[in-house]
Amino acid sequence: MGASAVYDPLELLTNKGTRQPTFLSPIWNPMAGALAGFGAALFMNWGLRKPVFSGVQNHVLFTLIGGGAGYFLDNKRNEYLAKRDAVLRHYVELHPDDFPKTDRKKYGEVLESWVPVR
Amino acid sequence: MTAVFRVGLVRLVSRGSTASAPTTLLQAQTNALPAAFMQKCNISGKTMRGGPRCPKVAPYPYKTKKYNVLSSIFDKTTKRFDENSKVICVEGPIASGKTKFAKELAAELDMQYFPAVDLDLIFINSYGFDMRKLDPELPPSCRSFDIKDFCANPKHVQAAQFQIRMYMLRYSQYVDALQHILSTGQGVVTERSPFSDFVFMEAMFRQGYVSRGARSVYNDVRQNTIGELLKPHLVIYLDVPVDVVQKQIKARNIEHEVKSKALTDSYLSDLEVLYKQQYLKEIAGHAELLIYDWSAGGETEVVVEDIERINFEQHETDPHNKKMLDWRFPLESEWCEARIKYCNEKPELMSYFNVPRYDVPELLRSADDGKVWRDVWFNAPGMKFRPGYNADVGDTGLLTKTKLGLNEPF
Repeated sequence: MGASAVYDPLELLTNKGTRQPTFLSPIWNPMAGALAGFGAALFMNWGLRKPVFSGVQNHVLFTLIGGGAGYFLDNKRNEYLAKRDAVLRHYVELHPDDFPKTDRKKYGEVLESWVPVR
Repeated sequence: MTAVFRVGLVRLVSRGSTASAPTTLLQAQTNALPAAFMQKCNISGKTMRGGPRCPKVAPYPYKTKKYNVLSSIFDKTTKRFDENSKVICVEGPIASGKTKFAKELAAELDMQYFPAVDLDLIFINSYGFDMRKLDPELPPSCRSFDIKDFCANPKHVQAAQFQIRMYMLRYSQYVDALQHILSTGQGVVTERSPFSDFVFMEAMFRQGYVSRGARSVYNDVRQNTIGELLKPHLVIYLDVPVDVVQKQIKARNIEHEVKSKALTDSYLSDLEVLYKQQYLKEIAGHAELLIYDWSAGGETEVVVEDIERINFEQHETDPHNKKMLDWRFPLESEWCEARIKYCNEKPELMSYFNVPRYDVPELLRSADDGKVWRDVWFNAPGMKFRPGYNADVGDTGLLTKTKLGLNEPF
Protein backbone atom coordinates (compact mmCIF):
# COMPACT_ATOMS: atom_id res chain seq x y z
CA MET A 1 0.00 0.00 0.00
CA GLY A 2 1.36 3.43 -0.92
CA ALA A 3 1.57 6.32 1.54
CA SER A 4 -1.61 8.30 1.95
CA ALA A 5 -1.82 11.60 0.16
CA VAL A 6 -2.30 13.51 3.40
CA TYR A 7 -0.19 13.98 6.49
CA ASP A 8 -2.17 13.30 9.70
CA PRO A 9 -0.03 14.23 12.78
CA LEU A 10 -2.09 11.93 15.01
CA GLU A 11 -1.64 9.06 12.61
CA LEU A 12 2.12 9.65 12.64
CA LEU A 13 2.21 9.30 16.46
CA THR A 14 -0.09 6.28 16.61
CA ASN A 15 0.52 3.95 13.75
CA LYS A 16 3.75 2.01 14.14
CA GLY A 17 3.16 0.13 10.93
CA THR A 18 4.15 -3.48 10.61
CA ARG A 19 7.59 -3.18 12.26
CA GLN A 20 8.47 -6.29 14.33
CA PRO A 21 11.14 -6.28 17.08
CA THR A 22 14.19 -8.31 16.13
CA PHE A 23 15.22 -11.42 18.04
CA LEU A 24 18.02 -9.64 19.90
CA SER A 25 16.49 -6.26 20.64
CA PRO A 26 14.41 -7.22 23.71
CA ILE A 27 17.17 -9.39 25.26
CA TRP A 28 20.23 -7.38 24.35
CA ASN A 29 20.32 -5.11 27.41
CA PRO A 30 19.51 -7.80 30.01
CA MET A 31 22.18 -9.98 28.43
CA ALA A 32 24.79 -7.22 28.49
CA GLY A 33 23.92 -6.50 32.13
CA ALA A 34 24.23 -10.16 33.10
CA LEU A 35 27.59 -10.38 31.37
CA ALA A 36 28.83 -7.25 33.15
CA GLY A 37 27.70 -8.70 36.50
CA PHE A 38 29.50 -11.96 35.85
CA GLY A 39 32.61 -10.05 34.78
CA ALA A 40 32.43 -7.95 37.94
CA ALA A 41 32.42 -11.12 40.07
CA LEU A 42 35.49 -12.40 38.21
CA PHE A 43 37.22 -9.05 38.56
CA MET A 44 36.47 -8.87 42.26
CA ASN A 45 38.01 -12.29 42.84
CA TRP A 46 41.04 -11.41 40.77
CA GLY A 47 41.49 -8.14 42.63
CA LEU A 48 41.29 -9.87 46.02
CA ARG A 49 43.80 -12.51 44.89
CA LYS A 50 41.33 -15.35 44.97
CA PRO A 51 40.89 -17.96 42.22
CA VAL A 52 38.46 -16.33 39.76
CA PHE A 53 35.94 -19.16 40.12
CA SER A 54 35.80 -19.26 43.92
CA GLY A 55 32.63 -18.30 45.73
CA VAL A 56 30.44 -19.05 42.71
CA GLN A 57 27.31 -18.01 44.59
CA ASN A 58 28.62 -14.47 44.09
CA HIS A 59 28.86 -15.05 40.36
CA VAL A 60 25.25 -16.23 40.23
CA LEU A 61 24.08 -13.34 42.36
CA PHE A 62 26.00 -10.72 40.37
CA THR A 63 24.78 -12.19 37.07
CA LEU A 64 21.17 -12.07 38.25
CA ILE A 65 21.57 -8.53 39.51
CA GLY A 66 23.19 -7.47 36.22
CA GLY A 67 20.49 -9.18 34.10
CA GLY A 68 17.77 -7.69 36.28
CA ALA A 69 19.28 -4.25 35.95
CA GLY A 70 19.36 -4.60 32.14
CA TYR A 71 15.73 -5.75 32.06
CA PHE A 72 14.69 -2.94 34.40
CA LEU A 73 16.44 -0.28 32.33
CA ASP A 74 14.89 -1.66 29.12
CA ASN A 75 11.43 -1.42 30.64
CA LYS A 76 12.16 2.01 32.00
CA ARG A 77 13.18 3.22 28.55
CA ASN A 78 10.09 1.76 26.87
CA GLU A 79 7.86 3.35 29.47
CA TYR A 80 9.53 6.68 28.94
CA LEU A 81 9.07 6.58 25.17
CA ALA A 82 5.43 5.43 25.44
CA LYS A 83 4.68 8.21 27.87
CA ARG A 84 6.33 10.79 25.63
CA ASP A 85 4.21 9.69 22.64
CA ALA A 86 1.09 9.69 24.77
CA VAL A 87 1.78 13.24 25.90
CA LEU A 88 2.36 14.38 22.34
CA ARG A 89 -0.81 12.63 21.11
CA HIS A 90 -2.81 14.20 23.86
CA TYR A 91 -1.47 17.62 22.99
CA VAL A 92 -2.30 17.14 19.35
CA GLU A 93 -5.82 16.05 20.29
CA LEU A 94 -6.28 19.13 22.45
CA HIS A 95 -4.94 21.52 19.82
CA PRO A 96 -6.30 20.23 16.49
CA ASP A 97 -6.07 23.74 14.98
CA ASP A 98 -2.31 23.82 15.39
CA PHE A 99 -1.87 20.45 13.70
CA PRO A 100 -3.89 20.50 10.51
CA LYS A 101 -3.81 17.63 8.09
CA THR A 102 -1.57 18.74 5.26
CA ASP A 103 -1.15 17.43 1.79
CA ARG A 104 1.82 15.40 1.10
CA LYS A 105 4.39 17.21 -0.96
CA LYS A 106 7.39 16.10 -2.86
CA TYR A 107 10.66 17.91 -2.71
CA GLY A 108 10.16 18.96 -6.25
CA GLU A 109 7.13 20.93 -5.13
CA VAL A 110 8.90 22.48 -2.16
CA LEU A 111 12.20 23.45 -3.73
CA GLU A 112 12.42 26.04 -6.42
CA SER A 113 13.99 25.06 -9.67
CA TRP A 114 17.68 25.55 -9.76
CA VAL A 115 18.89 27.93 -12.32
CA PRO A 116 22.63 28.36 -12.15
CA VAL A 117 23.87 31.81 -13.03
CA ARG A 118 27.48 31.84 -14.17
CA MET B 1 48.91 37.09 104.13
CA THR B 2 45.93 35.20 102.78
CA ALA B 3 48.24 32.60 101.30
CA VAL B 4 49.93 31.97 104.61
CA PHE B 5 46.57 31.60 106.29
CA ARG B 6 45.40 29.20 103.58
CA VAL B 7 48.47 27.03 103.96
CA GLY B 8 47.92 26.93 107.68
CA LEU B 9 44.29 25.94 107.21
CA VAL B 10 45.18 23.25 104.73
CA ARG B 11 47.68 21.79 107.18
CA LEU B 12 45.14 21.80 109.96
CA VAL B 13 42.49 20.17 107.84
CA SER B 14 44.78 17.53 106.43
CA ARG B 15 46.18 16.68 109.84
CA GLY B 16 42.68 15.96 110.96
CA SER B 17 41.88 13.71 108.00
CA THR B 18 45.05 11.63 107.74
CA ALA B 19 46.93 9.74 110.37
CA SER B 20 50.44 10.87 109.48
CA ALA B 21 51.37 14.52 109.21
CA PRO B 22 52.23 15.65 105.66
CA THR B 23 55.90 16.46 105.28
CA THR B 24 55.74 18.88 102.37
CA LEU B 25 53.44 21.62 101.28
CA LEU B 26 52.65 19.78 98.06
CA GLN B 27 51.71 16.67 99.96
CA ALA B 28 49.57 18.75 102.28
CA GLN B 29 47.66 20.15 99.36
CA THR B 30 47.27 16.76 97.76
CA ASN B 31 45.93 15.40 101.00
CA ALA B 32 43.40 18.18 101.08
CA LEU B 33 42.03 17.25 97.67
CA PRO B 34 38.75 15.38 97.49
CA ALA B 35 38.91 11.64 97.93
CA ALA B 36 38.22 10.99 94.24
CA PHE B 37 41.59 12.39 93.29
CA MET B 38 43.34 10.32 95.89
CA GLN B 39 42.16 7.09 94.40
CA LYS B 40 45.15 4.98 93.52
CA CYS B 41 45.04 2.65 90.60
CA ASN B 42 48.31 0.86 90.08
CA ILE B 43 49.34 -2.18 88.12
CA SER B 44 49.08 -5.24 90.31
CA GLY B 45 50.78 -8.61 90.03
CA LYS B 46 49.28 -12.03 90.63
CA THR B 47 50.96 -12.36 94.02
CA MET B 48 49.70 -9.02 95.22
CA ARG B 49 46.17 -9.61 93.94
CA GLY B 50 46.21 -13.14 95.29
CA GLY B 51 44.92 -14.72 92.11
CA PRO B 52 44.56 -14.42 88.38
CA ARG B 53 43.05 -11.39 86.73
CA CYS B 54 39.27 -11.53 86.40
CA PRO B 55 38.16 -9.57 83.33
CA LYS B 56 35.07 -7.47 83.87
CA VAL B 57 33.72 -8.13 80.38
CA ALA B 58 34.52 -11.04 78.09
CA PRO B 59 37.30 -10.19 75.61
CA TYR B 60 36.27 -9.19 72.09
CA PRO B 61 37.33 -11.82 69.53
CA TYR B 62 39.29 -9.23 67.57
CA LYS B 63 41.24 -11.76 65.52
CA THR B 64 38.16 -13.24 63.91
CA LYS B 65 35.58 -10.49 64.19
CA LYS B 66 35.66 -7.06 62.59
CA TYR B 67 35.38 -4.00 64.77
CA ASN B 68 33.93 -1.13 62.77
CA VAL B 69 31.77 1.92 63.34
CA LEU B 70 28.64 -0.18 63.58
CA SER B 71 30.16 -2.52 66.18
CA SER B 72 31.40 0.48 68.14
CA ILE B 73 27.80 1.49 68.78
CA PHE B 74 27.13 -1.80 70.55
CA ASP B 75 30.54 -2.60 71.99
CA LYS B 76 32.28 0.18 73.89
CA THR B 77 35.95 0.08 74.69
CA THR B 78 36.84 1.28 78.18
CA LYS B 79 34.49 -1.13 79.94
CA ARG B 80 37.17 -3.81 79.62
CA PHE B 81 39.96 -1.64 81.00
CA ASP B 82 41.42 -2.03 84.44
CA GLU B 83 44.60 -0.94 86.19
CA ASN B 84 46.63 -3.57 84.31
CA SER B 85 45.60 -2.38 80.85
CA LYS B 86 49.03 -1.00 80.09
CA VAL B 87 51.69 -1.39 77.42
CA ILE B 88 55.06 -2.37 78.82
CA CYS B 89 58.12 -2.48 76.57
CA VAL B 90 61.17 -4.42 77.68
CA GLU B 91 64.29 -2.94 76.14
CA GLY B 92 67.92 -3.81 76.38
CA PRO B 93 70.99 -4.87 74.43
CA ILE B 94 71.43 -8.21 72.68
CA ALA B 95 71.48 -11.29 74.94
CA SER B 96 70.56 -9.30 78.03
CA GLY B 97 67.88 -11.74 79.15
CA LYS B 98 64.93 -9.78 77.81
CA THR B 99 62.96 -12.80 76.60
CA LYS B 100 63.06 -14.67 79.92
CA PHE B 101 62.34 -11.51 81.87
CA ALA B 102 59.49 -10.38 79.61
CA LYS B 103 57.86 -13.82 79.76
CA GLU B 104 58.07 -13.92 83.56
CA LEU B 105 56.80 -10.37 83.82
CA ALA B 106 53.86 -11.10 81.53
CA ALA B 107 52.99 -14.21 83.53
CA GLU B 108 53.15 -12.39 86.86
CA LEU B 109 51.14 -9.38 85.68
CA ASP B 110 48.69 -11.53 83.68
CA MET B 111 49.58 -9.68 80.52
CA GLN B 112 49.93 -10.84 76.94
CA TYR B 113 53.53 -11.45 75.91
CA PHE B 114 54.60 -10.45 72.40
CA PRO B 115 57.92 -12.06 71.43
CA ALA B 116 60.73 -10.30 69.63
CA VAL B 117 60.15 -10.07 65.88
CA ASP B 118 62.15 -12.00 63.36
CA LEU B 119 62.29 -11.89 59.56
CA ASP B 120 60.80 -15.40 59.61
CA LEU B 121 57.50 -13.55 59.77
CA ILE B 122 58.19 -12.48 56.18
CA PHE B 123 60.12 -15.47 54.88
CA ILE B 124 57.86 -18.22 56.19
CA ASN B 125 54.49 -17.96 54.49
CA SER B 126 51.05 -18.75 55.89
CA TYR B 127 51.46 -22.44 55.03
CA GLY B 128 54.88 -22.81 56.65
CA PHE B 129 56.82 -22.82 53.39
CA ASP B 130 60.24 -21.22 53.77
CA MET B 131 60.58 -18.62 51.02
CA ARG B 132 64.36 -18.59 51.50
CA LYS B 133 64.40 -21.82 49.49
CA LEU B 134 63.66 -19.70 46.41
CA ASP B 135 66.95 -17.81 46.67
CA PRO B 136 68.78 -19.75 43.92
CA GLU B 137 66.09 -18.76 41.42
CA LEU B 138 66.17 -15.07 42.35
CA PRO B 139 68.48 -12.26 41.25
CA PRO B 140 70.92 -11.12 44.02
CA SER B 141 68.97 -7.94 44.80
CA CYS B 142 65.83 -9.91 45.63
CA ARG B 143 67.27 -12.74 47.71
CA SER B 144 66.41 -13.20 51.34
CA PHE B 145 68.51 -11.41 53.94
CA ASP B 146 67.83 -12.19 57.57
CA ILE B 147 69.61 -11.82 60.89
CA LYS B 148 72.03 -14.64 60.07
CA ASP B 149 73.06 -12.97 56.83
CA PHE B 150 73.37 -9.64 58.60
CA CYS B 151 75.61 -11.12 61.30
CA ALA B 152 77.78 -12.79 58.69
CA ASN B 153 77.99 -9.83 56.37
CA PRO B 154 76.87 -6.54 57.94
CA LYS B 155 78.12 -4.40 55.07
CA HIS B 156 75.95 -6.17 52.52
CA VAL B 157 73.83 -3.89 50.30
CA GLN B 158 70.67 -5.38 51.77
CA ALA B 159 71.56 -4.46 55.37
CA ALA B 160 69.50 -1.27 55.18
CA GLN B 161 66.50 -3.09 53.75
CA PHE B 162 66.89 -5.66 56.52
CA GLN B 163 66.63 -3.00 59.23
CA ILE B 164 63.68 -1.27 57.54
CA ARG B 165 61.91 -4.62 57.45
CA MET B 166 62.69 -5.16 61.13
CA TYR B 167 61.12 -1.80 61.86
CA MET B 168 58.10 -2.69 59.76
CA LEU B 169 57.62 -5.97 61.62
CA ARG B 170 57.99 -4.28 65.00
CA TYR B 171 55.46 -1.70 63.90
CA SER B 172 53.05 -4.37 62.71
CA GLN B 173 53.45 -6.29 65.96
CA TYR B 174 52.93 -3.17 68.03
CA VAL B 175 49.66 -2.52 66.16
CA ASP B 176 48.67 -6.10 67.07
CA ALA B 177 49.55 -5.35 70.69
CA LEU B 178 47.35 -2.24 70.63
CA GLN B 179 44.55 -4.30 69.07
CA HIS B 180 44.90 -6.74 71.94
CA ILE B 181 44.82 -4.17 74.72
CA LEU B 182 41.93 -2.19 73.23
CA SER B 183 39.84 -5.28 72.48
CA THR B 184 40.46 -7.31 75.62
CA GLY B 185 41.64 -4.84 78.24
CA GLN B 186 44.53 -7.14 79.01
CA GLY B 187 47.90 -5.44 79.24
CA VAL B 188 50.76 -6.32 76.90
CA VAL B 189 54.47 -6.88 77.35
CA THR B 190 56.53 -6.43 74.19
CA GLU B 191 60.15 -7.15 73.61
CA ARG B 192 61.67 -4.05 72.07
CA SER B 193 59.35 -1.74 70.16
CA PRO B 194 59.16 0.28 66.94
CA PHE B 195 60.08 3.32 69.04
CA SER B 196 63.53 1.98 69.90
CA ASP B 197 64.25 0.49 66.48
CA PHE B 198 66.03 3.63 65.24
CA VAL B 199 68.81 2.83 67.71
CA PHE B 200 69.88 -0.08 65.52
CA MET B 201 69.74 1.91 62.30
CA GLU B 202 71.77 4.69 63.86
CA ALA B 203 74.38 2.28 65.23
CA MET B 204 74.57 0.54 61.85
CA PHE B 205 75.14 3.89 60.20
CA ARG B 206 77.87 4.83 62.68
CA GLN B 207 79.60 1.52 62.00
CA GLY B 208 79.36 2.07 58.26
CA TYR B 209 77.01 -0.88 57.72
CA VAL B 210 74.48 1.34 55.91
CA SER B 211 74.79 4.48 53.84
CA ARG B 212 73.71 7.96 54.78
CA GLY B 213 70.97 7.85 52.15
CA ALA B 214 69.56 4.62 53.54
CA ARG B 215 69.47 6.12 57.02
CA SER B 216 67.67 9.13 55.61
CA VAL B 217 65.05 6.89 53.97
CA TYR B 218 64.65 5.03 57.24
CA ASN B 219 64.11 8.28 59.09
CA ASP B 220 61.53 9.40 56.51
CA VAL B 221 59.67 6.12 56.87
CA ARG B 222 59.84 6.33 60.64
CA GLN B 223 58.61 9.91 60.65
CA ASN B 224 55.73 8.98 58.38
CA THR B 225 54.58 6.06 60.48
CA ILE B 226 55.55 6.35 64.14
CA GLY B 227 53.10 9.11 65.01
CA GLU B 228 50.16 6.78 64.40
CA LEU B 229 50.97 4.60 67.40
CA LEU B 230 50.17 5.05 71.06
CA LYS B 231 53.44 5.09 72.98
CA PRO B 232 54.04 2.58 75.79
CA HIS B 233 53.09 3.34 79.39
CA LEU B 234 56.18 1.82 80.85
CA VAL B 235 59.63 1.10 79.45
CA ILE B 236 61.92 -1.25 81.32
CA TYR B 237 65.55 -1.08 80.30
CA LEU B 238 67.80 -3.96 81.27
CA ASP B 239 71.23 -2.41 81.39
CA VAL B 240 74.11 -4.72 80.51
CA PRO B 241 77.60 -3.38 79.73
CA VAL B 242 79.28 -4.33 76.47
CA ASP B 243 81.79 -6.81 77.88
CA VAL B 244 79.02 -8.71 79.67
CA VAL B 245 76.96 -8.68 76.46
CA GLN B 246 79.88 -10.30 74.67
CA LYS B 247 80.14 -12.92 77.41
CA GLN B 248 76.41 -13.60 77.27
CA ILE B 249 76.57 -13.99 73.50
CA LYS B 250 79.30 -16.61 73.93
CA ALA B 251 77.41 -18.27 76.75
CA ARG B 252 74.20 -18.62 74.80
CA ASN B 253 76.21 -19.88 71.83
CA ILE B 254 73.98 -19.17 68.87
CA GLU B 255 76.22 -19.83 65.92
CA HIS B 256 75.59 -16.74 63.83
CA GLU B 257 75.91 -14.48 66.86
CA VAL B 258 79.15 -15.98 68.14
CA LYS B 259 80.83 -15.86 64.73
CA SER B 260 79.27 -12.51 63.91
CA LYS B 261 81.18 -9.76 62.15
CA ALA B 262 78.40 -7.31 62.99
CA LEU B 263 78.28 -7.57 66.77
CA THR B 264 81.62 -5.90 67.42
CA ASP B 265 82.45 -4.06 70.63
CA SER B 266 82.11 -0.70 68.93
CA TYR B 267 78.71 -1.60 67.44
CA LEU B 268 77.45 -2.79 70.81
CA SER B 269 78.76 0.28 72.62
CA ASP B 270 77.15 2.49 69.97
CA LEU B 271 73.90 0.66 70.66
CA GLU B 272 74.28 1.24 74.37
CA VAL B 273 75.08 4.94 73.98
CA LEU B 274 72.19 5.51 71.58
CA TYR B 275 69.79 3.59 73.77
CA LYS B 276 70.69 5.57 76.85
CA GLN B 277 71.34 9.00 75.42
CA GLN B 278 68.65 9.15 72.77
CA TYR B 279 65.93 6.58 73.20
CA LEU B 280 65.57 6.46 76.98
CA LYS B 281 65.86 10.23 77.23
CA GLU B 282 63.18 10.69 74.58
CA ILE B 283 60.75 8.10 75.88
CA ALA B 284 61.15 9.21 79.51
CA GLY B 285 59.27 12.35 78.56
CA HIS B 286 56.30 10.21 77.67
CA ALA B 287 56.43 6.94 79.58
CA GLU B 288 57.43 5.75 83.00
CA LEU B 289 60.94 4.38 82.88
CA LEU B 290 62.62 1.73 84.99
CA ILE B 291 66.29 0.94 84.49
CA TYR B 292 67.97 -2.06 86.06
CA ASP B 293 71.54 -3.22 86.09
CA TRP B 294 70.99 -6.66 84.62
CA SER B 295 74.63 -7.67 84.15
CA ALA B 296 74.20 -10.60 86.54
CA GLY B 297 70.53 -11.14 85.74
CA GLY B 298 67.90 -10.16 88.28
CA GLU B 299 64.70 -10.99 90.08
CA THR B 300 61.47 -10.40 88.22
CA GLU B 301 59.63 -10.11 91.55
CA VAL B 302 61.68 -7.07 92.49
CA VAL B 303 60.75 -5.38 89.23
CA VAL B 304 57.10 -6.28 89.73
CA GLU B 305 57.19 -4.66 93.16
CA ASP B 306 58.65 -1.52 91.64
CA ILE B 307 55.98 -1.51 88.93
CA GLU B 308 53.27 -1.87 91.55
CA ARG B 309 54.54 1.31 93.20
CA ILE B 310 54.23 3.45 90.07
CA ASN B 311 51.17 5.62 90.19
CA PHE B 312 49.80 5.72 86.65
CA GLU B 313 46.64 7.45 87.72
CA GLN B 314 48.40 10.75 88.31
CA HIS B 315 48.91 11.20 84.56
CA GLU B 316 45.22 10.89 83.91
CA THR B 317 43.99 13.16 86.68
CA ASP B 318 46.40 16.00 86.00
CA PRO B 319 45.70 17.64 82.61
CA HIS B 320 49.06 19.45 82.68
CA ASN B 321 51.05 16.28 83.02
CA LYS B 322 53.06 15.75 79.86
CA LYS B 323 53.30 11.99 80.21
CA MET B 324 51.04 9.54 78.40
CA LEU B 325 49.32 12.34 76.53
CA ASP B 326 48.36 10.14 73.59
CA TRP B 327 46.45 7.76 75.88
CA ARG B 328 44.07 10.46 77.01
CA PHE B 329 40.80 10.18 75.13
CA PRO B 330 38.19 12.32 76.84
CA LEU B 331 35.24 10.64 75.14
CA GLU B 332 34.26 7.02 74.88
CA SER B 333 33.75 7.49 71.14
CA GLU B 334 37.38 8.53 70.79
CA TRP B 335 38.49 5.30 72.43
CA CYS B 336 36.30 3.45 69.96
CA GLU B 337 37.77 5.40 67.06
CA ALA B 338 41.27 4.51 68.17
CA ARG B 339 40.23 0.88 68.45
CA ILE B 340 38.72 0.94 64.95
CA LYS B 341 41.95 2.45 63.66
CA TYR B 342 44.16 -0.33 65.04
CA CYS B 343 41.76 -3.26 64.67
CA ASN B 344 40.10 -2.48 61.37
CA GLU B 345 42.47 -0.16 59.54
CA LYS B 346 45.79 -1.88 59.99
CA PRO B 347 46.34 -2.14 56.20
CA GLU B 348 46.06 1.66 56.01
CA LEU B 349 48.57 2.06 58.82
CA MET B 350 50.96 -0.30 57.03
CA SER B 351 50.47 1.60 53.77
CA TYR B 352 52.20 4.60 55.35
CA PHE B 353 55.45 2.71 54.80
CA ASN B 354 55.15 3.49 51.09
CA VAL B 355 57.37 6.55 51.16
CA PRO B 356 58.38 7.40 47.59
CA ARG B 357 62.14 7.74 47.86
CA TYR B 358 63.98 6.71 44.71
CA ASP B 359 67.39 8.22 45.42
CA VAL B 360 69.02 5.35 47.31
CA PRO B 361 70.13 2.58 44.94
CA GLU B 362 70.50 -0.16 47.58
CA LEU B 363 66.82 0.13 48.46
CA LEU B 364 65.67 -0.19 44.86
CA ARG B 365 65.53 -3.16 42.56
CA SER B 366 65.51 -2.97 38.80
CA ALA B 367 62.31 -3.64 36.87
CA ASP B 368 63.81 -6.80 35.39
CA ASP B 369 64.76 -8.15 38.82
CA GLY B 370 61.34 -7.22 40.09
CA LYS B 371 59.67 -9.16 37.30
CA VAL B 372 61.76 -12.26 38.03
CA TRP B 373 61.05 -11.92 41.76
CA ARG B 374 57.33 -11.52 41.19
CA ASP B 375 57.15 -14.56 38.92
CA VAL B 376 59.07 -16.76 41.34
CA TRP B 377 57.64 -15.44 44.60
CA PHE B 378 53.99 -15.62 43.61
CA ASN B 379 54.33 -19.06 42.08
CA ALA B 380 55.79 -20.60 45.23
CA PRO B 381 53.65 -23.13 47.13
CA GLY B 382 50.78 -21.33 48.80
CA MET B 383 51.58 -17.94 47.26
CA LYS B 384 49.50 -17.98 44.09
CA PHE B 385 46.38 -16.77 45.87
CA ARG B 386 45.68 -15.16 49.21
CA PRO B 387 45.93 -17.37 52.33
CA GLY B 388 43.10 -19.87 52.52
CA TYR B 389 42.58 -20.02 48.75
CA ASN B 390 45.44 -22.20 47.59
CA ALA B 391 44.29 -25.55 46.30
CA ASP B 392 47.91 -26.57 45.64
CA VAL B 393 48.67 -26.70 49.37
CA GLY B 394 45.43 -28.36 50.36
CA ASP B 395 42.80 -25.66 50.82
CA THR B 396 39.40 -27.12 50.08
CA GLY B 397 35.87 -25.92 49.46
CA LEU B 398 37.10 -23.05 47.30
CA LEU B 399 34.14 -23.24 44.91
CA THR B 400 31.83 -21.62 47.44
CA LYS B 401 34.38 -19.94 49.74
CA THR B 402 34.08 -16.16 50.11
CA LYS B 403 35.51 -15.49 53.58
CA LEU B 404 38.39 -13.02 53.93
CA GLY B 405 40.64 -13.10 56.98
CA LEU B 406 41.16 -9.97 59.08
CA ASN B 407 44.39 -8.04 58.49
CA GLU B 408 45.95 -11.05 56.80
CA PRO B 409 48.93 -10.78 54.45
CA PHE B 410 47.62 -9.92 51.01
